[in-house]
Amino acid sequence: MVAPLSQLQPGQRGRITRVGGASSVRRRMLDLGLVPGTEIAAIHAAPLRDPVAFLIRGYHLAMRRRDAEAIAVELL
Amino acid sequence: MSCCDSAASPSPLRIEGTATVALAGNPNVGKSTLFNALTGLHQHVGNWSGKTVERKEGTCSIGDLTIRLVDLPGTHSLSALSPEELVAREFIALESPDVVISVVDASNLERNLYLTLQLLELTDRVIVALNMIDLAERKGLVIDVRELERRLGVPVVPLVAERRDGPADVLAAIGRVLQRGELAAPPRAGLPVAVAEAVGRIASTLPERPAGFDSAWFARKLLEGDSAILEVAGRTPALGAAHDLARELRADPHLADAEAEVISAQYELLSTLLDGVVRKGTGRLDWSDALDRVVLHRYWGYPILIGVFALMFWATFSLGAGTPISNALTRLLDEVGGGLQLALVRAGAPDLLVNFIVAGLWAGFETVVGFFPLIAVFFTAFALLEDSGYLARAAYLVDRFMSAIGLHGRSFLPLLMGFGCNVPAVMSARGIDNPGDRLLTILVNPLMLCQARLVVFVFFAATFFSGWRAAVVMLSLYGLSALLVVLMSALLKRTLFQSEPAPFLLELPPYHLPVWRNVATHAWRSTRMFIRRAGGQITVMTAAIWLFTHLPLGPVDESFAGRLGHLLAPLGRSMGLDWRLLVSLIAGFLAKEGVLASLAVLYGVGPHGLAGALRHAVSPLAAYAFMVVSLVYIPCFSTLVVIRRETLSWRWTAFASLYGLVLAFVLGTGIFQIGRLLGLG
Repeated sequence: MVAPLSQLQPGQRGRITRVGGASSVRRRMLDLGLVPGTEIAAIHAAPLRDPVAFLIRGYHLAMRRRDAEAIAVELL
Repeated sequence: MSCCDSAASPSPLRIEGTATVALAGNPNVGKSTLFNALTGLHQHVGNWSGKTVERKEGTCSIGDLTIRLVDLPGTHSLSALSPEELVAREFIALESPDVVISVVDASNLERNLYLTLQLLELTDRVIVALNMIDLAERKGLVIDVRELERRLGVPVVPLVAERRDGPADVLAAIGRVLQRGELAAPPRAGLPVAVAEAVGRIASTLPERPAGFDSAWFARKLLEGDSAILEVAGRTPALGAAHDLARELRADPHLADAEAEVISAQYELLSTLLDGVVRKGTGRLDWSDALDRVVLHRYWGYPILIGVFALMFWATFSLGAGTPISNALTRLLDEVGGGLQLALVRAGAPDLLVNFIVAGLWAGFETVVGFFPLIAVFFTAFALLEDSGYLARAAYLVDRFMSAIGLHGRSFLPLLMGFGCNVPAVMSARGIDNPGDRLLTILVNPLMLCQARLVVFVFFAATFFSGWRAAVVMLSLYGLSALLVVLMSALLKRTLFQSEPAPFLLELPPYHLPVWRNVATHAWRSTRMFIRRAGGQITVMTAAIWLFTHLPLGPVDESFAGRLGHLLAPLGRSMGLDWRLLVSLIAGFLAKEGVLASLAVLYGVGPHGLAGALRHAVSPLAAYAFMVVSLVYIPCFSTLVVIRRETLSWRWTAFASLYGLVLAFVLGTGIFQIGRLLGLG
């Protein structure tokens, strides 16, 4: 099942299938290793639900839901 | 330390002359620490021409070889997304340094080596400095350094914080790279066939070294749609054909996502390179995750955050000001000033000169020294928070609030610090990596009601309003201050800062115990920078303002400042301010708390008679308008000096002072006139 990354609940894992968004934002996300095929796990949401911390390539990266919406993941 | 005696190169170097070595790396990987260790005191800080990016250069030597070390700004990649990335990329591609040292965080190797791969595309003279090995070990990662070196084809030098021979190993590696004849081919990412073909087609239309860049690299950047390279190709006639071909190819659906495919290929290459090099051992970094469960907890997160920052401010303002140490310092300076005065009088110096030296120059020097403990304590606390990893968590927790006003979680601490003192607050904005957000945070910072203004407001509130009314007045000023920050950032965001949307992408590094030496270096560098670069200007300006309010000799209202006050009186009238209040604002430009001392002089009363004199001359409504005006009219001079230092731009510094003046006039007039209409005057 494919869903936006923003819908990944803490504890859930997915595999990135597509990275969209405005070109500069997209380039930044790709540079940080959010490329298609990468496994990503949601580990924590901030107390007010936003932003969300993810585990990717062995490090923790926090993102706003709005930015995470542009990334599509296949739930694992 | 001196590099000469620590360079224990096994084979003596047979090279003379000068070599340029660049330091590249992600932000916060210990690049500056290595730079300082290598260059010691031989460094020079300036800025990259035409860019608001700090340029650090230093020298050291190996044998007869002099090394010019250039510390490039910390970046995650060499894309064209920020001035920092452009500076780093253009330096490596166009100025061809002899060696590039790629400093990487061993505990986050894959993403850090992504930058190394990008460096290797531009030069094969790279050394990988593996930092934070201790952190990697605690994370349970075992790194086979020799194997990594073999696969990358470049020297890999492990740096261990506790051992001090790391810099010597790096120097030895520089020597090896410079002397090396045959170079191993660096690993290259295999591009998808369609992309490789397209790059080949574009490259075939390019001259050798287009605009100074490598042609294959240039061709690929054109295909990726890199904004800076497109711009270069677009305005260079000889590159027009390649520019048009690339545009045509980008429209091809098979190549539309060339950018993502290239980056994917690089990350795939990294996975292959690191397979077997990094092994997961035992002992994961469980305690960091456990700590996060408490620190980022739904209920405990914010109380802890408030507690940590409260502690930080308490430390800054109780250790940094009003303590035995800083009081003793002030007393000592006062006594030296008194001694100076006495000596000058005895030597028969004219009164004016004595006053100028003591109340002008010496007072300016005292202002600078007065900031010293405050800045030292604040930056020690700041470095502790940054180094431990908590600052990133704080940004994560408050981002939801900051995004509501168009800012980043990282802007929170500099703004909050503004309630204490705008000088360190503006300096601490350096941690914000988005240039637009950093500038915005700096520009709105002076609107935060700092301690110096608080002193003035408390006095005014107590003088003009009694009991609960005084408390309401104070609260309204704090509320107005916060409201203006929110409105002003929203306004600037919609007008001058309408840049491309910047995503909030924040790395949460594992917690680690701060290395005391790093914290001390950090704090010392910030403090020294303030004293060295801002100190002189503040002293000179204080003396200049003294002259302005005391010359020509005679009564105060005939001085230059007094005349200016009279000249501005019509403007002042619309806000309910007489010329004395206006002149006191000029004095307040130096230090906001100076408003009270100058009012006492202007009304010709001692400090104890000021309240009575003010009540007699000024209505409560005008007093309130005056408080609002002095809240926003201009950043104090010390703040302006650091704004100039941090933005490296006179234009933005002028903007920071001018918007305040306009805003103050509008608010002051509005409050006074509306108040009068309501019958409050």
